[in-house]
Amino acid sequence: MIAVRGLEKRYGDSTALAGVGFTVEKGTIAGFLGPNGAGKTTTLRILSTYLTPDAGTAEVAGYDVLRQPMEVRRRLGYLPEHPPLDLDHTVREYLGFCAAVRGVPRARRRRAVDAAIERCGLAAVSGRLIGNLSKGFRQRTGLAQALVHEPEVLVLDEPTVGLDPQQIREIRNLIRSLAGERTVLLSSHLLPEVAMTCTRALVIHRGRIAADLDLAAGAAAGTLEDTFLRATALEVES
Amino acid sequence: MSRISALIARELRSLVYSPIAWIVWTLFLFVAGWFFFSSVYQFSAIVATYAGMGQEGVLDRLNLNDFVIAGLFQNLLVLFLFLVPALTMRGFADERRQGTDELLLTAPITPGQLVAGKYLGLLGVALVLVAGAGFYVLLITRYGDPETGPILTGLLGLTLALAALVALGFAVSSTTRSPVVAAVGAFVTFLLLFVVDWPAESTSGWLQTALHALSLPSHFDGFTRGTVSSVDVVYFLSLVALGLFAARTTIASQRWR
Repeated sequence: MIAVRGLEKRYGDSTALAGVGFTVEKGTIAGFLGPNGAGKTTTLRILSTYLTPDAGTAEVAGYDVLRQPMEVRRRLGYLPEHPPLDLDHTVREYLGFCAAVRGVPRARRRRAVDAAIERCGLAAVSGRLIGNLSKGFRQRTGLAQALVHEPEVLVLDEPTVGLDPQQIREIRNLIRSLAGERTVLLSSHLLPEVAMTCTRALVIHRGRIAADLDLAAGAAAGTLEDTFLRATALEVES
Repeated sequence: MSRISALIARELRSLVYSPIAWIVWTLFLFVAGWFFFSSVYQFSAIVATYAGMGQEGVLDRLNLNDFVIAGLFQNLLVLFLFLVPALTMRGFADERRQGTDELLLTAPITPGQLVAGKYLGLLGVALVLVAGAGFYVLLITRYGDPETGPILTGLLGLTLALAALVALGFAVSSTTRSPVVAAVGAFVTFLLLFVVDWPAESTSGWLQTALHALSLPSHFDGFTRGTVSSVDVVYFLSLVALGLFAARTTIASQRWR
C-alpha cells in the first residue's frame, strides 16, 4: 500500500533524508519512530505530496507521488504535524469543506461528515467554532478531516502530541478501530504509543531506516525500547 | 467546479465569522461616509454661494456627477489602497501561517483551481465590503438627480480596479508566510501603481507614455467621467491575469522547494 525506495531530501546544507526505504502492507498500522529531527515529518510530507523528494520514489495505493499526485491525493488522508484547521469555522462547516475539496459528491457529503463526526466523538461540539475548542477536540477534528473522504491510506504525523492520557487513549482506540480496512502510517517519538497502537514499528534515525520490527507477534514495549536505543545509538557512534 | 465553489464559500464564511472583516468594514464605511459628507457639504456651500451672487451661468456648469460622485469614486479608489491589503494578506500567507496550506496542497485540486477558488472568494469578500458604500450613491440618486451613465461606468471602474488589486495582493500574499509582510508588500505595490506617473509631466517621448500607461488612477479617471475605453479595461484585466499567473506559479512551485 505504501512503498518507499531510496528517498533523499536536503534542505539547503542539511540532509533530512539519506535514502529511506520501507513498505507497509495493506491493513497494517505501522508506527514511524524516531528522535526529533530524524526525518519523520519530511517522509510523511513527501508521501502526502506536500513536498517532493530529491531522489528516490514513493508510492501510495499503487500511485507514484511524483507522476500521479492527484491519484495519490484522492486515496490519502493526511494529518499534518500541526492540524490544518480553519479556526473561524464550525467543526461541521470545516469537515464539509474538507469533503468537498477532496471530491466527495454533494449528495454523499452530509453523510460523510456525519460519519466522521460520529467516529471521532465530535457530536457534542459539531456546531462550535474550532478556535474555541480544547486541544483534544482540535486534534480529533484534525483526525476527522483525514477520514472524511474514506481514504484507503492514512498518514498521521504525531496524532497524539500534546494530549492528556485520557485523550491519548481515545485517539489510540480510534486509530486501532481503523485496522484492517485501511492502511495507517503514524509517526511518534513515544515508544509506548507505537507499542500499543501499531502492528509494525519502523525506526528512523538520521534520515535512514535503522530498524524494522514486527509487533504483531506480541513484542513487549521493552523489546522495542532496546531496539530503538540500539538503532539510534549505533548511528551516533559510527 | 464544486471544489472551486467550496473554496469560494469558505472565504465568504470567514468573512461572516472573522472580527477583522467587520472592523475593516466599519472603518471603511466610516471613512467613505466622511468623504461623502464633506463633498456633499462643499457642493451645497458652493451652490449656495453662487446662487446668492446670482451667477446662474456658473450653476449650470456645476453638477452632482462631477463634483460629488466622481469625487466619491476617486476617494473610494484611494481607500482600496488600504482596504485590499487587509483582505489579501489572508490570501495565502495566512494559510501558511495557520498550516492550512498543507490541507489545500494535499487535496486533489490543481494549483489553477486553488488560485481560482481563493481569488474569486477574496474578490467576493471585497465586493461585498465595497457594496456597502453603494448606500451613498443611493442617497444621491434619491435626493438629487445625477446622470445614471457616469454612475454605472464608475461602478464598473471600481469593480475592475478591485479585481486587479485583489489579484496583485493575492500574488504578493502567495510569496510569503507572514501576513504582515503580505499586507505591507501589497500596499507598497499598490502605492507604486498610484504614483508611478508623478514624474511624467517633466519627461517626454516613450518614457512619458510608459509612465502614464502604467499608472492605475489615469486608467480609472475615464470611468468616473462616464467613458469606458477598451485600453482601460484591458489594463485592469491584464493586471488580473498577471496577478493570478504569478500566484499560480508561486503556489505550484512550493512543492519543489
